[in-house]
Amino acid sequence: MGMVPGEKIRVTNEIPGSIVVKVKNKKFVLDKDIAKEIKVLKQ
Amino acid sequence: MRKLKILLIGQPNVGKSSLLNALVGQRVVVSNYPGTTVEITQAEKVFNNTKIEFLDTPGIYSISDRSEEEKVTEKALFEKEIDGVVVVADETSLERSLYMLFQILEAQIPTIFALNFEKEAKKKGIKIDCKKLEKLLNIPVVLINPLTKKGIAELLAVTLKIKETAKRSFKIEYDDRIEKSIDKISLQIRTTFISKRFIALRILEEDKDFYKYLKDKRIIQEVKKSLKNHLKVAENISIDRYGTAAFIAEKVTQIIPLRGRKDLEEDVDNVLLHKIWGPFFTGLSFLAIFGALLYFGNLIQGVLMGLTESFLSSFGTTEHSVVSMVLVQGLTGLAAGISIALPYVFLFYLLLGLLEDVGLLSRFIVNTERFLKKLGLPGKSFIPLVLGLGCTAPAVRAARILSSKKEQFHTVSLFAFVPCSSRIAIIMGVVGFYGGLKLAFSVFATLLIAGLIWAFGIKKIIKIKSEPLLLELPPYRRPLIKNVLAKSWLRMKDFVYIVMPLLVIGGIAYGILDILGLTKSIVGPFLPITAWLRLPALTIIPLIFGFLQKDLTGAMLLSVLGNKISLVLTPLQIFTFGLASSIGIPCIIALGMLVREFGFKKAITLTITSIIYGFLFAGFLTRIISLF
Repeated sequence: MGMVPGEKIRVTNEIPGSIVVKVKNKKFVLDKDIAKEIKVLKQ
Repeated sequence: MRKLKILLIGQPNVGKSSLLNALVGQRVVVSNYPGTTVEITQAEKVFNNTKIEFLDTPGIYSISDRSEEEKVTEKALFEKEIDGVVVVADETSLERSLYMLFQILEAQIPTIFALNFEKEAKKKGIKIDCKKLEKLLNIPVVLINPLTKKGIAELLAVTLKIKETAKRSFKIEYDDRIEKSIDKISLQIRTTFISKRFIALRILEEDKDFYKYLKDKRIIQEVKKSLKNHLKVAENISIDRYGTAAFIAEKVTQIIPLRGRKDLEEDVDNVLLHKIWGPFFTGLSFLAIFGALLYFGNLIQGVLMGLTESFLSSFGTTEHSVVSMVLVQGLTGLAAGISIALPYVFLFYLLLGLLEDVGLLSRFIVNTERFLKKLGLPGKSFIPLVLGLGCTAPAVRAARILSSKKEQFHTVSLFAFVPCSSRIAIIMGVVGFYGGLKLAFSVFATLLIAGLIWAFGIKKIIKIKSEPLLLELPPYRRPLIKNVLAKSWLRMKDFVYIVMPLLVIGGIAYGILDILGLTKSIVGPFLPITAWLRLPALTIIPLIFGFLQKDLTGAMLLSVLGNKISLVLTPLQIFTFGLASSIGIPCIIALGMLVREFGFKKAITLTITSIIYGFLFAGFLTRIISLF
């Protein structure tokens, strides 16, 4: 999905097994296993 | 005449295929979901005495990832001799497109930056200063709208001068140690048409595919040693690229605050992606589609049947010669095919087009993911499965959006139970029309059960670890009727140009066999099958012809049994016929596509197994039902 370190992510929806995130103006659905791999640098 | 070969590249769903259609005329299906294009599409345009060949590529997020789409696009970039690239970008998320643009500029490929979705950006309060961007990047930047053809003439004019952009474009400077490593590696790179700087960067980003360009691979260890205390190199390069992209995007973007504007998309998504309402609306939408197909299809079929019957009866008054009898059989095949298949095929594509363009398909993937996972399928398999409701052959190709061959094969094996529009036409036009709507729905329900049993069985045989879901959700868009009609026509074209002549040929072939008295010799060897299915022996003919082209099934049934089917077959026999003709890899065209994607052995095994499974299932069910 081409996400790069330092990008701002906003979680918009939570669905069983996945989350929906907004990166800039694009929305992505991520499996929770993938989402767990994202290191949050700043809340 | 001068010739140019130009690649259209961009992130998924940025409008590359729309641009291709705007440049050369309606050639490819355009939809509002990522992954519509899974292979390269070529089309030519002659402009100012230059023949420009455009190559539309599958969408990619960068030239660093390793999905199937990226491999296809990378191959086109570095293995085909191209004159330049048009990077199509989405104005609403400029920096994401800039990231990939920088990689292409690093490869020193002559590039044009085409900015799409100006209207959408405006709605979000985003305004891009094109002139400033052009100045910063030092490459042509063109504002486009493929739907209104805005900027298309300008883009074509700039394309003619694309080679001039090669040397003067923008370059990212990395930190000293990385730059030194780039220089060191560059010295060891063999002469190739790809830029040495780009290859060196790919090697530093640990892309092993680029090691083949090195004269001496020992340089890799040498560079690694010299960068030992450096922060993760690949990550660093990516951060630098993104940082530059963000910096440039900020410089050229003006954000206009939007007051009191409610984000409708968020509200709709809160419902459609809700854990309960989401699956509910997905199921409801499919029921609505099938309901609409059944109702309107039946209505149109009734009218067409009346028209074709009165047309054919006009032949009944003339004297019958052998030739005219054969011709009448040909026309009967054509008329039956048109009245049975056409209404459903056309309506389905129209509804599918609407669903795709609104942006609902991706939401449905999310809602069906949990269910598909239980069958051992990845969520993305929803797209080929839905496309399979149109036509199996292109849906087999669409399965390429899945990352592994195992996942692809598991998905396409289910096409044996996903009724394509031709099979829907049999179920609705034959079973529904002659046996009633309840019977038609029973066939659909049975297909679903048979498919579930098959899917669980395959899951046990092929051990697949499904890839976790990672999917872009496209924005909701108002569908353009022009686009929906155009792509329905693109998908329908084969029906008109291939299926309709086949319907005539099929009818004539049956007429000749009938006159020569050869039908019995065809029917004979298949008697055990028709006996197992408890169907009249002659019904094997539509089943055989149906494998050549599925739309022939209904047409040939009418040719063989006449149009008073409900008088010849019992409701149970109509049900069994509908089921037997609907389970299995449907036709020779689908088989050909399977051979292309998975090889002869796998394709033929799947086809034969699924057809046998279908006949066995239908036969057993007939026996069980007749007990009650």
